[in-house]
Amino acid sequence: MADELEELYQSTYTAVVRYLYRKVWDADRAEDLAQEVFVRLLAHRPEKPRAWIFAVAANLARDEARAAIRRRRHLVLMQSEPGVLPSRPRDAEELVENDEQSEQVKVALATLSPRDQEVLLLWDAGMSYPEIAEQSGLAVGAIGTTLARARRRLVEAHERQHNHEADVAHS
Amino acid sequence: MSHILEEELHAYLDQALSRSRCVVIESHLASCGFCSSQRDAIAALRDQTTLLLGALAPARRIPVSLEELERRRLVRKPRRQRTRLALWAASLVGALGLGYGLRSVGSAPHAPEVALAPVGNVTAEPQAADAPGSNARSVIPATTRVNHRGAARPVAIAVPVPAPGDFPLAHDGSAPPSAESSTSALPTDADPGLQGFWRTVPWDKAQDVAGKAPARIEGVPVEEVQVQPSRVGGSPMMVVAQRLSSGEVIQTIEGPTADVSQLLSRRGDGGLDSAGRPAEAMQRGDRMLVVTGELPSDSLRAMVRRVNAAMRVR
Repeated sequence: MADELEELYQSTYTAVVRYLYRKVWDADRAEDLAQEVFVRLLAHRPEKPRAWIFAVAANLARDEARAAIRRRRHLVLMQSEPGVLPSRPRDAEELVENDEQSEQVKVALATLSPRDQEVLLLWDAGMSYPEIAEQSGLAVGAIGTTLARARRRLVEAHERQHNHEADVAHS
Repeated sequence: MSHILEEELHAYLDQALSRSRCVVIESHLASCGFCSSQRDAIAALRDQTTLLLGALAPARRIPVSLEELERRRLVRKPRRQRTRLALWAASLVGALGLGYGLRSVGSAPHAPEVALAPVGNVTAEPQAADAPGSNARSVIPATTRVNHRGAARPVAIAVPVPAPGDFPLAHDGSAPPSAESSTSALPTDADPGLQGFWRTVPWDKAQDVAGKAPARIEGVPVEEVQVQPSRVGGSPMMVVAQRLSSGEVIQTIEGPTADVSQLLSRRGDGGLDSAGRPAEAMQRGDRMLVVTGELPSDSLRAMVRRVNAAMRVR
């Protein structure tokens, strides 16, 4: 059992961090939450650990999103802050390009419906159709349809975003 | 046979179909140019999706070992036990608070300030603070700096102080601070950057000392306030330590930019992370506001903004 868990941890941890990162958009927080998922896994030892891991990760990400909304309520009160010091020097061209690219994808992903997003992210985390169906509440037969739509919309939205930013840069 | 549905081609490429269904589809694809080109287009779309999502991945780090997670699980108390402990602690705090409140009704309006200590030759490393002639140490507010969560290093800044009896210690980490306050001249051989006194004052006196309410995170209990007169004049530099419910101590430092910058640069890690980036800070005019603590940088940044917003309202 210990070996199985170790193997599962090694094979799943990065996917869980990635999945959580795309939900909370904070690398440190995603790592924290992923570790929390596995600490709980060790305590519960579920029968279907892989599906269980992503179900718990989704719940933790949802709780985190609620907390973020509460934090945003405080931030709304803020006014302009001309004196904010940059905490991340972003002078490297490569960094900027990567940031722009990931920002475009992030915006594109946000145009998808929550269900399409969820199915797409679970698929990208390596889950099977039956596992995705179990977690999302969809029928197994509907996963292909949902994925087809989600993939198409993501790529289209990204192209629109990319073209828009290219137009802005030219003008 | 009619053409294969788009969603079925997705499932086919995702290897989500039964073997028998795959055989049917493959024989159709071999004879149908339309479906074959559809399959290629979907395969390209699938690859493109993977590529795009790949841009949304955090930098890879070496994960902690499973043994370490197991250890964390074992040191955790069961939730029921934690709740019982929390209730017990809350009732104890409530009882103490009630007793203190009743006692203060008949006492003097202001309790005496706690203590005063000179700060000079502030250095990053405690052993480096052993200046010739000094025979005691005081610890000025320690900071905790986070490169990323889990990599925080608490740094205590040790400073030489004169022989016991000359000045009471502000906070020596072992004994509770004196209930008496005192004032003293600045040490003449102190570092020009941080000459002055660190004064530990109770929260209710901090406002009188500073001339205004010190910057802090609203709604979080204050552990201690330490004050140092500004070396450039004007309002003093203040360090407010607060403990979050999660146990982390957050320090809010507010004061003249030159003083705060100097304090940070002398705090071992200088308020900088391994990449030399500044602490989560905000500057307004000649004043600087910094929040340090064992939290992700995004959280610290949000706290700086919160504190700043609160100060604008005041």
